[in-house]
Amino acid sequence: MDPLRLTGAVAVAGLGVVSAAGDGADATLLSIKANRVGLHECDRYRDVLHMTNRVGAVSDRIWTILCGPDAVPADSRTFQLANRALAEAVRQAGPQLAEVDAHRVGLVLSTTKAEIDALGSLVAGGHCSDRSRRHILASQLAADLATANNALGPLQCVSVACISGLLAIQQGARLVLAGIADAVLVVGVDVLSHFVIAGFSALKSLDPCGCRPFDKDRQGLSLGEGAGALVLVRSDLASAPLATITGWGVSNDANHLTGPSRDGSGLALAIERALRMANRTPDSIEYINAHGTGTVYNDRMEALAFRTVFGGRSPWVASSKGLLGHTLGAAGVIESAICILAARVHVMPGTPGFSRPDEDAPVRVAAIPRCSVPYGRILKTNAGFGGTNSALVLEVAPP
Amino acid sequence: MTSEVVALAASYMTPEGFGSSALGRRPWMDGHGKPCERKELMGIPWLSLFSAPCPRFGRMSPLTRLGLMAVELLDVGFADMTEEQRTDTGICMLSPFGSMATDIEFLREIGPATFTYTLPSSVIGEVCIRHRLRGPGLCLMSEEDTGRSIVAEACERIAMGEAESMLCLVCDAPGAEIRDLLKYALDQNGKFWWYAYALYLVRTDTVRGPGKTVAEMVSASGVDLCGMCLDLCGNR
Repeated sequence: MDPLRLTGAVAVAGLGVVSAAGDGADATLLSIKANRVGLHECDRYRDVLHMTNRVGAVSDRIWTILCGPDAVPADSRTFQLANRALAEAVRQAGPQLAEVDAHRVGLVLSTTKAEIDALGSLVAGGHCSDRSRRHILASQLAADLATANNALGPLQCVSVACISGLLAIQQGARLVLAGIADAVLVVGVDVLSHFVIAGFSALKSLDPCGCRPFDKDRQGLSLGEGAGALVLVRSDLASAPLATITGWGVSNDANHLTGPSRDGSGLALAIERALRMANRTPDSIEYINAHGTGTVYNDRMEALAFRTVFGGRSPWVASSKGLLGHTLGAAGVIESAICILAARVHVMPGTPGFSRPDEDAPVRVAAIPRCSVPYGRILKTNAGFGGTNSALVLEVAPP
Repeated sequence: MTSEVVALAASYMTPEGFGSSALGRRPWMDGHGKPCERKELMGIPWLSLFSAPCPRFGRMSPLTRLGLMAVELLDVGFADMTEEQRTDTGICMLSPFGSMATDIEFLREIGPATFTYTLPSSVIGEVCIRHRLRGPGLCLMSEEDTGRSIVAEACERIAMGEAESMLCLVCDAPGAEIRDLLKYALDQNGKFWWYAYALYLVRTDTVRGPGKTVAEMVSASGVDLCGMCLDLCGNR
């Protein structure tokens, strides 16, 4: 059975992002162009149970704007961050969204841990605000974000480890494609917390020096926090589309719960599925924004997957984890937003933290950003715990 | 899309009993071999329900155990499937509270083994590992939905050619502590009890034997995934 072709069916009409790379699209683009490493030691996360406190944190200045100077304990940091990204995306979409009946506007949230700090506080016998308590449940966080943004249509909350963000984009596109919604606000958010840093420390997955994706000396990942938002609309409603969603693929390694497959076949399968849906051949892809966490096995697995699909003619591959840290459930949305932002101004993002190629995992790494490179066909990949893999094909419209 | 999809098997596990479309309905037994009214999750005789050994089962979270066991009860015969069939079989899952009970356990005692199960999608991972399924996976979290959306998602994936067959899974294993921490007043409808329902769906044109289409089941009962499973298990 031939998969449905999606070409041009769903457009991206607006985007927003808040992360270690900056507050908003303009600040993020400056960081991309500078190939900035966004990972720093953060006193808030100094703890005997943490392998490192070098993380991709949203700056204190932004947190103060979001929560106020006395925002301790913060009032649902996930809501504040996600709402900030949504506001920017909605503003950019402008009339393309404003003209849609609010009951035909859906919202899809991706997150792995929602307001996990609040749960930690309660379990320790402490307190948290009522809203933080509500947002321990991801579905209630999604509901409040939808209400705040007048999205009264279908509501979904996706939680599939580190591919959650890419799945949320796919779910949003499905809602538009199926005629269930005319527009969908897709938002991904996860914040840094003792929970996740202690968890990845327990797994010994963190690089104390900061992640170095695809680098010969890479030792692990760095955690990050942030929110990304995309406004998806039916393409005939998009008067000024930024990009179109043309294909996606999802697969499972069926191999190991926390480790990637050793041969990359699961991710290769997801990429092949995405290309088939997009009706694109491998050689038509001009840039890959990889998962690129900086762990030894993830990056090797990705390199093998790219070799399987693209052979010796791989397009440039980059990872944004050195700029952002690994933002978990938000990663797919933020990194897709970065791809669109950069391609719109003909900048091909580099790989902050990368310096020495790994002969064991050869991949054509874009070490530094390339400017004045017109390109538009992008593959975005993510993989995660549970052996999950996902790929998304984006086609970026010229400005 | 639902008319293109047939339900070949269903199963369930609740405090009142367990069953499948092959087994029918079964009550839980107490230590003396007598049917018991309600079973605590910790008292389930898990290993007696497996037809083949399940490595690492003892280390899994309650949510993961439930999901894995519900799929086991389907008795679909994954072992007899071709590699291609397994590659084209995916899972759509719904869990309102997800891994929250394990999150609390991890907060109390930090360790790598527990952290591994602090994602609801670990259920999908374990099912895929056990049965070598490589199709698309999705996990939604919603308190409002009782599984209908998951069936729709699975049907859509089959109709769009993304998968040949799909497992639908609704499971939850919250405890009373979560109710207290979240200040939930509602405990009606067994909301804080544990449960798992599983449905195995395939594309109509790949089926030789009998099977109700999802459209027929929805129009007959107008119910959600849990109701469909109970119907197919002869529980209504």
